[in-house]
Amino acid sequence: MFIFLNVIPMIYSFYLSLTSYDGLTIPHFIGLKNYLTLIRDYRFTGSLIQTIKFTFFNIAATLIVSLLLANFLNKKMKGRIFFRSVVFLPYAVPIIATVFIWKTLLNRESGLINMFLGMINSNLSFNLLVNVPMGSLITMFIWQIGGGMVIFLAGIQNIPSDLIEAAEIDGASQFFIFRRITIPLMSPLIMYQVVVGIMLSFSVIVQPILLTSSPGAAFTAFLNQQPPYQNYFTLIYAFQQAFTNQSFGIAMAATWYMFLVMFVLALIFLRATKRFVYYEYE
Amino acid sequence: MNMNKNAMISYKRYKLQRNARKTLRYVFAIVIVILFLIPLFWLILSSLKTQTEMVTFPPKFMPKKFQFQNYILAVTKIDYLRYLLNTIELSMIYTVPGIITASIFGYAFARFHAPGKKFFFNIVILLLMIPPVAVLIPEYAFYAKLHLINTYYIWLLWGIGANPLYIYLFRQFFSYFPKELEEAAILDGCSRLGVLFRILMPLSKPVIVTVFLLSFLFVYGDFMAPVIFLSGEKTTLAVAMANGYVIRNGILLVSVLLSGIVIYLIPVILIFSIGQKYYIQGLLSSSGIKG
Repeated sequence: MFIFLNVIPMIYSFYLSLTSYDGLTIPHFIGLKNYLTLIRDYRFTGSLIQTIKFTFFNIAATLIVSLLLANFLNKKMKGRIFFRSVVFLPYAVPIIATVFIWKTLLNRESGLINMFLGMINSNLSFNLLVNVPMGSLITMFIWQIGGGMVIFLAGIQNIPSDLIEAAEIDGASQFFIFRRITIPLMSPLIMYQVVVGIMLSFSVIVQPILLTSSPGAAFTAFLNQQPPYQNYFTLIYAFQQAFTNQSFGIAMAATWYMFLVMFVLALIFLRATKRFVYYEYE
Repeated sequence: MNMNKNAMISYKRYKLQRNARKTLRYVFAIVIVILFLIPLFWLILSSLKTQTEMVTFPPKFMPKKFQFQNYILAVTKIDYLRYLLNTIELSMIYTVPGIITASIFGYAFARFHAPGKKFFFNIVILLLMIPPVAVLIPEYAFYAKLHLINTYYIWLLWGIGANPLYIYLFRQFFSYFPKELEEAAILDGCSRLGVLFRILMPLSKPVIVTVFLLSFLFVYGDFMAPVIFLSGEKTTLAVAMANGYVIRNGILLVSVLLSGIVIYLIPVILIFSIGQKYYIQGLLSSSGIKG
């Protein structure tokens, strides 16, 4: 089975995490030493905490916005298809383009928000990228919400219309329908999106580095760029360990810690919401 | 009579309210469209500004004079065409074998009954949960041993290895197919692979387009893998652009970079607007939401 092409690197990575490997010499087996070093490294633990924070806020923000948008774009109106494709479009924009678009947009010197602020008073300005780095990052992800929104949209369209009509005849408000019918019926999809969201949030690495790197810096040392600590995620730490410090063992151990945290988060989430999820066939 | 009048009034009010709500809805929709399009619009405006306009505060809305030479500079400062062709070549190397193998695996998971099938499928699901970026580090160590760094074989291997997501999409799509069709073909002496490529594949356009779009856009927009595995003239457009528009004293030509990005986005938006319909259809029919 060719699946092993995907599995071998994983096993190899676990093996490397138990060794001291610098990419050149033969790996020496050192047991769990890498894992112990990492716990004591405050930069690693700090990055892990920031990653969890980011995951939480990112999932919360994108979920709420995409649910509301999907609900809204499902309403009957002319040009609905057009509105949908506009919201869907940014989803296809590649990472590099997204980062530079938002960098320009939020920047002090070239940004739209600062243009309005500058009109009011020339002393008024925000450098959003420096002041609220995580917020800027999440705004970027909200812009690219299309993929999740499409799935929710399909879910909403699948809700039997007689349910909603019955509620409307009984005089339920739109908000009530959304709260009591749409959300409970969509709960399996929401679960799915959260679990995928955990994975996606943990795999963010290029965006925070490029978003806040100084514009003139040479990109050849791409991985040496230091994002502000709010955006310093575990994966960045791992890559810097591997490719800047040449310590693959520690990098692997860091990624395995990360996988562990991911699975624990997913499990906690699944356990906690078990009661609220509605399955049709139960 | 009086009651009738009241009813008329309340009906009118109802109609008025409904119209107000309708208008509000359109206003809201237009606001959303503007919010989602502003970044792209701002990108185009900024790409036409001069370097000085980009770095002086406060920002201006319109450029003083449209700097179309930014676009010329964008394609001449770096070897734009070569990197673009590199990118497309790389996407194809990954996408075409990827579709073939993913469809074979998907078909196998949907139809064959082999021992341990469930176990392997669980591995596929588990791999779905692993961030592909995180696997790049061990893969680097692995491919360095095989002396594959700075070659395109890595992408070929990834393609053959088949992304778990694509396997999953194909499997879901195939499992909705009526079995009678295949059984008839097999009775007529068609092999299993023949069934897959002659009968199923022509019928599964939506899922093929979906996987094609996903994997093409993935490689086209990928940044991390080319940064790590490729160097020099072999790298992709994304990396070349991020590196290329720096002049000697380390200053980034922002508006030239943005012009480069505008050109870089054109194929994406073209492919996307052509494939969007199939993409949504394929994603939905495969994710099992809409059978």
